[in-house]
Amino acid sequence: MTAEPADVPNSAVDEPSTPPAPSGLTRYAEILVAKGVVAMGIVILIDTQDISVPRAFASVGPRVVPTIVGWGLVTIGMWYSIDVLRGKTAAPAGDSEDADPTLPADWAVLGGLAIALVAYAVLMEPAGFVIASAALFVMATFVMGSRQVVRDAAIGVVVSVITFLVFSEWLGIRLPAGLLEPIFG
Amino acid sequence: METRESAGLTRRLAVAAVSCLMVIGSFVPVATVMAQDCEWPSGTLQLMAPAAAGGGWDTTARELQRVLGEEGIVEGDVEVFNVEGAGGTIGLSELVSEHAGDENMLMVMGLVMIGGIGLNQSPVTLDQVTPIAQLTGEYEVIVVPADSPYQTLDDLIVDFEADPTAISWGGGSAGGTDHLLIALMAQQLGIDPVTVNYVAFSGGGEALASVLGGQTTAGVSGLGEWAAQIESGELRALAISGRADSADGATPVAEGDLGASIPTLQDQGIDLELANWRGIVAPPEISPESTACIIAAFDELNASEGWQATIEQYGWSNLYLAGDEFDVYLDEQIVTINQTLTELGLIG
Amino acid sequence: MDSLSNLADGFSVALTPENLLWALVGVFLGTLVGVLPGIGPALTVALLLPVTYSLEPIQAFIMFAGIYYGGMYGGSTTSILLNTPGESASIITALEGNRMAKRGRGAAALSTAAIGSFVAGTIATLGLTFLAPVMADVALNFGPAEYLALIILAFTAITALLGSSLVRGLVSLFFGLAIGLIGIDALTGQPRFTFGNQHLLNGVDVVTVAVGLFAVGETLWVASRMRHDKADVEPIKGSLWMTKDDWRRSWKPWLRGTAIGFPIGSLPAGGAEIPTFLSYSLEKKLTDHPEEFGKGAIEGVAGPEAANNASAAGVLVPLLTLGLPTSATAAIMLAAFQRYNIQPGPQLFDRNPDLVWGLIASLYIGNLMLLVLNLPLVGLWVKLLSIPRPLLYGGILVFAGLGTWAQSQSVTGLVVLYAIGIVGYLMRRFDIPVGPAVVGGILGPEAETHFRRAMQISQGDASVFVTRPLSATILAVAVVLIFGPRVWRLWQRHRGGNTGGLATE
Repeated sequence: MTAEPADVPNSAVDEPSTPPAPSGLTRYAEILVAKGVVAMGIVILIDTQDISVPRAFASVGPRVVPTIVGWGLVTIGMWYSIDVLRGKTAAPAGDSEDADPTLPADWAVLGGLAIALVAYAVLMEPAGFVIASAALFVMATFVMGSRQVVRDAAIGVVVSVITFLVFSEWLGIRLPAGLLEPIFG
Repeated sequence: METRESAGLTRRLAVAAVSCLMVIGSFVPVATVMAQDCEWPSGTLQLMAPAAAGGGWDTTARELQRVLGEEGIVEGDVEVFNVEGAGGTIGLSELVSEHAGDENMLMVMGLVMIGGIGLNQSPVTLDQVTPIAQLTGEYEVIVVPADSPYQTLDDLIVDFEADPTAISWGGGSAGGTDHLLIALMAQQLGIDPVTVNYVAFSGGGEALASVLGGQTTAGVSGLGEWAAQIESGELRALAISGRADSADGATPVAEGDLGASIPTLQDQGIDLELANWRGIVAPPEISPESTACIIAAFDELNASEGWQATIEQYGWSNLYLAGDEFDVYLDEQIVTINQTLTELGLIG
Repeated sequence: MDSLSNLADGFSVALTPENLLWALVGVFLGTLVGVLPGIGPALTVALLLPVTYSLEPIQAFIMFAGIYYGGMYGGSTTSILLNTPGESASIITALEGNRMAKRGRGAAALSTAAIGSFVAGTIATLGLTFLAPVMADVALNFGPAEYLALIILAFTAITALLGSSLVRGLVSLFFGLAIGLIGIDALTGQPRFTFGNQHLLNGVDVVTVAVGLFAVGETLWVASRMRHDKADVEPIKGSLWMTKDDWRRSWKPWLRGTAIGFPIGSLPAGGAEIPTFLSYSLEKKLTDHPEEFGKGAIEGVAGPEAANNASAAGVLVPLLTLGLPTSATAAIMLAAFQRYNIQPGPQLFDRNPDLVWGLIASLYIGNLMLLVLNLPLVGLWVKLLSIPRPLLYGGILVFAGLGTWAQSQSVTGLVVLYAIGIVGYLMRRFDIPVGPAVVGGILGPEAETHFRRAMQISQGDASVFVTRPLSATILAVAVVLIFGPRVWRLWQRHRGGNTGGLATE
């Protein structure tokens, strides 16, 4: 179901006015994103067939809007990839004070954050909110370059405990106590 | 379907066996002995309201929390928490999968959950839980705005029979009590439920606005939600889904003075009684002893003045049924409701 | 005037030291939960209901009113500072507000939000005091067709959020629409796109979408390309307080936001989000500084913030006059009324004047308290921005997780948050604007529901949208807003010859 001609030579449709061509890698990645959009549309169109349509009276059934959205995604995804193939690739997303868009992605940092976030989700129920949050905070700050681990750990624990006490114990919003159940009861 | 029914049958047999044991046991004054032996709950009692804050289940849970404490039925803390969504089936599946055997955990549920299970193809059903008691119910009213040409239910039915789809009914979520009432009424009138033009709204407020503003022909809701507008004359109540006569005294005709002033469906030749009932269930795998203890606590609740006052305050009807009686009723309800929803084409 | 003397009585009820204390407790609690994404005033009021049983009804309602207004303030604070909207009505605030904060204008953003909320809250409460019965009558004329027209009008906000590339804007919009499809179909009760996962039956909360796209996406983006050359970002550039220019640019958006927010808030299905979109796109159209939009334009904070607070007061119109709960919080307040044996609805004003007017008076007081509480805190809040980046972004991740967990109570919720965060990262990487996704996620499901309801009521006759006068009027306005500028430009070009450069936005 590949929706766009992936074999169009990249350089063939370059317009002369394009700013310094982004690396081939960027363009390749962006076409992948466009394909992702098409794929999302296809998934929606396929899964729409699984929505049961009640026999009960309805002028417009539950499949109509998903079908529109699905076709919309397919169309826009194809348009997007054509745009990219024509050389209209992403302008460097800028305007963030903390990020330098000219830098290449630091995959080690992203990988580290991914591990930290997954650990958070895994730890939440068995270990509890306080431990999971403190762990996420320490891991995330370390990955992002903070090296004062003891200070960060102290901050993480204190903030997590205060948050837990205020929201869970005092306001009654359910957060898992986990391993600290005996303490927080 | 086959598996569900056979599972239900097995369970019913099990229940029958248990109730036999209880009958045998009742030669000695078990009830009092058990009530004294009961150390329930053994910790903080958790009450799950499987819906968003503010709805009927949530209100029931929070009132139980208060009355159980105030009446001294539960000595320790009672906590209420909400697990939102999908007709309560998300809460139900949490109850079954995460709290099996936890006797300090109870869940509020009701009629709407039965439909929710079918609609959402819930992997978990009410056959898996331990029924405790049916507590309260609210009868449904059928209303039209004050300036509607329909003065009586008969007026409305004439047009409904002539062209079912031309009458739009505004009410709560699809497959909920409001929807069921209209579907059951259509069946009684010999109208194919599939032709009913039912417009589902997400909350009582939006449905009410649609009726007041004349967007829909008629509205359906629990009496309590629209009582103020009926009293003030902005809405005209054409029928209530209560029982025509209360000869057996077990079920009140309808709630309060307002309810009694509205003609029932049965009075108007439609043999239909439907209450949006609410009850309490415990997780699976609760021992018969503990189950008896929990039921005893709710018997005590039902006998308390505090609970009776609460029921009156909200205009609910007392539909108390405990233990086996509730279990049997629940099974009947599951059959009826699934049948209706199937005929409506909402499940199947 | 009758209302005036009633209001004076109301103030005499609300101004006792004890009742003032309850108002203070309310606004404090409201602010506290307002900052938490996904946990809003509705749940807080529900949690506090049992606690209030020992209070007089008026005290309970004064506290609830404080929570309600406080939640709106709290939501915008985290939107601006952390790009983590606490409420769906504060999502738009994050767009410009957080940009302002990143540019050292956080204090001005917080101030214009706080003062705007106060102005809007006060004017809207005046509207509630004097116009409630009239508003309620008008509101009932809104049926599904009118709501659909209104939503289409709000969709025009997207044109203000599209960015430079149309196709990228549409990718974002349709992503939002797709996310909005997940969950139980409101009209038929059928599950859609839940892929067998029960936790998806509730749908993906739009606050989760916003927090994922904004906060998690931004964190991943920054972390992957962190500037190490610049150790500290100065939290405050120039004046801490709003400058003269800020005031000049803020006051009209405050008033316009109020004028949009109050009437829409008083509609039974109006909500607080639609007015924020409308206000945002209106301000972008009217501003003298269109180039600043998307980079931290103060009008884009002032207008939507005023709009969401005004709509909060609007919600009380149908609640008090008709007994119609039109938001989750209103529904719980309705339950609380019943708890106290008070029948809300048409006769409430006659039967319980003390309570109603005391409540209204406490709204004025709560609003003032929030302003007094929040303005001095602005200086403290912006210091948050000067903490080292790893700690700030680490904190944002914890905070986003906390809110999502509190709301969804499931690992699925976190997984959805992270997945949307990855999408947010990709959107930054490829210059796809995030705003349209959020608009699509909020308005898409509403548009579908109202469209199908209208079609259902009309038995499939699509002409209802243009034959009902109110619906037709709103649609006409939307058409003018979408196509008007283009037609105008074409016409000018046609008349004045091709002067070039007109195509640039």
